[in-house]
Amino acid sequence: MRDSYTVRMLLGFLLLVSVLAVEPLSAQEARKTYTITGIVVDAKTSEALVGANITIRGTTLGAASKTDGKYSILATLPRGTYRVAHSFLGYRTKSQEVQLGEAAIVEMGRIALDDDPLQIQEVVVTGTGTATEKERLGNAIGTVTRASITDSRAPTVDAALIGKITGALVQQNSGTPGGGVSVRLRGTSTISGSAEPLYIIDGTIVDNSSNEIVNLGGYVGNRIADLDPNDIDRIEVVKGAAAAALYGSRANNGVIQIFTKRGQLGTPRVTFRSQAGTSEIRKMYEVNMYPFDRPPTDPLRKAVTRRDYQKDIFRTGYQSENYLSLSGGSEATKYYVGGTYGSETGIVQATSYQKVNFRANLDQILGDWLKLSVGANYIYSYADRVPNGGIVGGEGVITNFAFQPNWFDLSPNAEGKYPTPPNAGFANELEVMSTWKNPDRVNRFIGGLQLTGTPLSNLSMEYRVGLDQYRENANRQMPIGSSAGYLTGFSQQATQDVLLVNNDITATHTMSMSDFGFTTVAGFSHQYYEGTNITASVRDLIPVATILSSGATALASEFREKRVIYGSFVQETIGFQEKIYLTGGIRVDGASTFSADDRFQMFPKASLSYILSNESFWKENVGSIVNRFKFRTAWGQSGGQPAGTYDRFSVYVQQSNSNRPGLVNAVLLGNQKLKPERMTEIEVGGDIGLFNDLVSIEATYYQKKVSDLLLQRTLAPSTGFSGILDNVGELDNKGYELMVKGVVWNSDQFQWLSTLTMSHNQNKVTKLNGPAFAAANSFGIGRVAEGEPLGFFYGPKYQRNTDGSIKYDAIGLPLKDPVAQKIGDPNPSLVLAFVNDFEIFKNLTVHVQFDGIFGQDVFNFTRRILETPAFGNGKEYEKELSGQVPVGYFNSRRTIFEEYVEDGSFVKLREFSVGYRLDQDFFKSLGMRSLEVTLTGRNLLSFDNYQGYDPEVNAASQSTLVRGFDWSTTPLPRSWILSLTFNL
Amino acid sequence: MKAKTLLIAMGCAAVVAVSGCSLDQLNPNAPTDAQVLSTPEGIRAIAVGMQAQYGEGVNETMEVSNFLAKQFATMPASVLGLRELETGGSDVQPFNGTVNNMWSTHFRTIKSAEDLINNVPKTSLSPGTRSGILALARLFKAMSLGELIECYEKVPIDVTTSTTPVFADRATVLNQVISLLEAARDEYASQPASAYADFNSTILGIGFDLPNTIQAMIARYALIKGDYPKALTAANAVDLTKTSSMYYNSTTARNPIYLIAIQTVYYKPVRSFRLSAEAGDGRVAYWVSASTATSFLGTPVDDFNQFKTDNAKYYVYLPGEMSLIKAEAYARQNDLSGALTEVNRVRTKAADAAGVGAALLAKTAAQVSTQQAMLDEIYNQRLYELFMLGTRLGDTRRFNKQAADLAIPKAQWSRNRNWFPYPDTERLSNPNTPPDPSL
Repeated sequence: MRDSYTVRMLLGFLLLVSVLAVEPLSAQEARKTYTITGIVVDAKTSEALVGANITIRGTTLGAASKTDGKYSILATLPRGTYRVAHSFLGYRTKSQEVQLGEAAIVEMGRIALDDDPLQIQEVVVTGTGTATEKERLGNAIGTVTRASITDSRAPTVDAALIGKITGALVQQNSGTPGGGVSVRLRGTSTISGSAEPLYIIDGTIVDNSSNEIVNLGGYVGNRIADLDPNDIDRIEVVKGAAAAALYGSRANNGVIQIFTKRGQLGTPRVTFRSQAGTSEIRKMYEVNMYPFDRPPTDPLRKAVTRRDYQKDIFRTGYQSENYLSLSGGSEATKYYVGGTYGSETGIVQATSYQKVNFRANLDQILGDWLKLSVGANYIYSYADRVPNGGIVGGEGVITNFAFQPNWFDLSPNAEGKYPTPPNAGFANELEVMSTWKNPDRVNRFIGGLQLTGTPLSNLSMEYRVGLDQYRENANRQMPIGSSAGYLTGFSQQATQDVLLVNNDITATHTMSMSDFGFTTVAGFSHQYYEGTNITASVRDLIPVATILSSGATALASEFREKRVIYGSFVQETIGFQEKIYLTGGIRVDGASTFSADDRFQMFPKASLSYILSNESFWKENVGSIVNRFKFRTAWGQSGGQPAGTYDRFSVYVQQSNSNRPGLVNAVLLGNQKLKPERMTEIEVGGDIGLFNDLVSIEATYYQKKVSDLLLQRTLAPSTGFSGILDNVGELDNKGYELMVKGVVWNSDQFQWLSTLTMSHNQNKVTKLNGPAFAAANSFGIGRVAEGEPLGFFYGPKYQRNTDGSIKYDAIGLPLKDPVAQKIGDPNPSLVLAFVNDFEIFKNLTVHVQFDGIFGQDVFNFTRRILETPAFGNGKEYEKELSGQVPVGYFNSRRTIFEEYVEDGSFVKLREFSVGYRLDQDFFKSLGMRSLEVTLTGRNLLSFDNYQGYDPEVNAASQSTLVRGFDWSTTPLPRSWILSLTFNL
Repeated sequence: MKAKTLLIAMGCAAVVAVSGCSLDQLNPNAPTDAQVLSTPEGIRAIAVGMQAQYGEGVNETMEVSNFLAKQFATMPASVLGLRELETGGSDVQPFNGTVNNMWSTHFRTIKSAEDLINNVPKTSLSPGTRSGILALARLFKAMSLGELIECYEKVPIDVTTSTTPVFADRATVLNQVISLLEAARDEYASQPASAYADFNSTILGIGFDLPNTIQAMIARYALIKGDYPKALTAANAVDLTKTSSMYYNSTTARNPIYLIAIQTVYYKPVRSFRLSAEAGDGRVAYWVSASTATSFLGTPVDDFNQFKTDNAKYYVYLPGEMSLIKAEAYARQNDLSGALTEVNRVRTKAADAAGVGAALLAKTAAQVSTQQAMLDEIYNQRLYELFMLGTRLGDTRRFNKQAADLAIPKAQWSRNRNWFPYPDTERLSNPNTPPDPSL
């Protein structure tokens, strides 16, 4: 339409003008061409550092050191004093002043870099518009390195983030292979939408949906699971509006940008890793083995034989993975290619997961001012799944372990037919695991292309195009003759096609005037999303076959959606003497999810970084102890999108009469006035280095206020509608985050690094504009109410005596308080992680990570069903069968939900690994650089008081509102993995 | 340098100018109001859908009426909402599901009808289709408003004009119902029968007789209003050899009474319906069959003998109702012989076009010699003739039976509530909602 076309033209014109305007301005000064050369070496070993980055501050010019550590920059610049910075990952940046005058050749000499075990000096790009040193930023940004992802041997990239960044609550919601991880950055910032952050891979915006395209009882993986952790180089995490404003109306949940490995200068390197492992359940329920089915007083009591069906469900899982990569390059061309094949069987019978992943990354320098980078990633995965969890429907295998009385023999008869168990509406779990099939396949391609140009010494421009495309296909197949309501068989096919494309242009202009440096970044972004879901199912199958055409009665449905976002931003950073950096920026964003009048929204931001330790008074007085001290503060706004693409439209839906297609208005009225949910965040913090950076501290306090939250507002039914989506809610997140890293010991023979992270967040709904409501799929337990945190638990409590003890009636049954009230809160108050890395005699490494969540309540619905008399499979129920408690005790207790709210706090030994690197001459003589042997354990121990399998899981998977809900969800397994890595 | 810059800048501009797509994305999954209300196809489809909306809620008015008039009893423990209606009085809550559903279903039908009434004139349709849809829309709006005003003291009349509609009193609503019906009648009469061929075969529900239903509804609501000459004229205009019903099938539009009363057995008819009938009344077996069951609260109940399949039709009026309207109109104007003729027509008929037949002996003038006796006979005949038509609650009011009244025992009430409390969902969002009646 006209409006967006006008905006595009205007933006194109602005970019053109800004580029053309810059050149004559800078051309006014007299320029001269210089060749700046030098050599970069390790300060300790004097070995040449290959691939170090050398940049001339205040310009976009730079180079990388070659195989001999030497570099040379060809720079056309006005005369003057410049600073040349030398940086290399794992080393401290060193900048040196240089005078550009008459001489055309400028020799910098030998630059020796000190090692930086804590990796304090990093360059980040996420949310900053352009590559920026961390010290210039007014906001905190989380970074995760390649090593800590690889060391974790986590099944997915997002699971590897557990305990690695502050301000993040990362929860693996299920132990089923193939994912299911939710990430909350500085609390949950929406009610009706997804709370997961925006994921970007090398500039390509990628999909992380949790598509429940067939019903598996609540379990659903998220699509970041497709990525191969082996490919990851580093991850940057921005957690709120103050840092993410440049991402506009999609940034309310924060942004996670993943960078993949790229080729490096030098001879080709081959890495081959082969690993194998086992996983097993950490803890099981004690089951009821009492030899009678009813309490002693019951005249119908009979003797029964019971069985622990957990032993039929759980098994030892095995996994294996092979990874091969080749990387290398010349100054002009660098490449990385990698491939992984992984195969895994889950701890629940009949579950398995296989994945093949290929990646190729290429960087090519064209001429002296252009660089082209291309990345391509193809993923295929196949999973055999079983229904898991009981949030929707009753087919989950652990659900049925709880629901079907364990004196009933579920085994198949002589014909192989499984009996229908006594409790209607639920399935026979042995049958579910043996004859029902629920395969899921994903084909995915993620690609990106980036063209970077430096047409002028102070101007760089970048164009990026990214594409993410996948098809997920899932089935449910129950053959004819199945028990429990599927006597005539059932087959379902669902396909989800997703396409994301983004086009981004960014221009960066730098300029310095006396003590001031100016960096201007302007950008334009176009984002496109297309999704198609097609589902078909049949009943009344013929024997044996379970494909769609084997059924007699069929149903089909289709849903399509498209979203378009245009955005542009301008940001200005003013630096003063490398001490103070002031940044201001604004993003204008227009999304197709909103109508023309409310479509274009502005998201401003401002931040300040003051490096006090660069002041001479600081250096002179406390510099020897506090060598680095930065004060920072940032403020910004960002937006959130509605859950539905077409929520603003009032639509008519199909309702036939007399077999003729008809239309009736949908029960929800559309709202053309919808606008993005808007977050305003302010954060204040400091970065401190002690004892010449032996200790590094990062501390941040933040406050986020989200207004215009999208909620369904009830309409008077006499209007013909039941509700309307409207921007009516408000919520707050407040918290602090702290990271302390330290070099405990650093010698040639022994190095010990320690990292402690701590995050606290408090969430509160401040305005709802309507009554409290129960979250869907929480069985009425998870609730949203003004003045309370999102998804708090609500239900009946015990009646208590004045001393707090439980009140019982005359025969000893617990009494229920008739008034339902708040009984718990699934939002943790504190997330902690303590990571220690040891390097002994250079070649032996030990990595230990403990992490924990405190103050989270978990609703143990599994335990409730296990002791409910109608099912009664839990050990606890033996008390009623044996007469230890009066008959009816558990029937009373099961209605008192307070009983099942348990403290879900835990500390887990999440990661433990021991590695030995063989790089002695013998191995080198075999043509290897090294051979590494590593034994890694995950989720080895859990210190908790939780009565269920695992306090960490969530039956509602990545749901925004239903958290801490344990209802027969597969627990996280304890796993051991042995790997061999050959570096050639 | 200059060339480089220019190249990049032009590249940028080109990318920005051509990249992608419009921000005005339309919903491919469902048409919007703008797309539907302005096209002939959309208008036709709404006319079809409106009938389905009404049809999927026919159980609600009928249940509300018969529970309140003590003709039904709930069976399972779990149906708390229906039990509130069964026990009545102050047990009926503003959040009662059945009552709220009836309210919202009717207003969704009214919304569709108003969409049609407001937009048909702006659309190019053939004269017959246009008149047919307008007549149909006015009829369905009138039926929905009429059923609501039999349950609530006040009801909003126009819904598409405001998000907080104003409530109108009973007299205003009844006048509106009748004027809508008369407008529908005149609209339909404005075209020759031949003009309706397309409308009848593509829009009008199978089994639905539009002109006769309009007249039948004029007769029904003119009687309720007390306009007896009008009721007589309209009832006389109804062709008693025809029927008019809502269509159901076994897949997309299943009979809602079958689903709730036969398939899930939420309620059954009280046995007193059968036991207190006149010996030999053929209509008893039409509606119910004998059972020995008792309800959740211990009331003896029978089984339904109607709506036993999911595609059973639902008659929106019955031929016998027209005779009884005429009888009542005569009786209330003290024309007892005219009334007797019509009463006996009902008493003596064998199965009529809808299959209902009492096959009883005629009453003599001596047996119903007073106006009151005649009205009592009509009241009783209406129960057996129109058992599941949703008219009983209104009958108790029109025949001055004992209202719900806290001063006397509940057993003596003819109905469990006089008026419903307004749905809480309405009160929450509409400040014009009047105070709830006490009973």
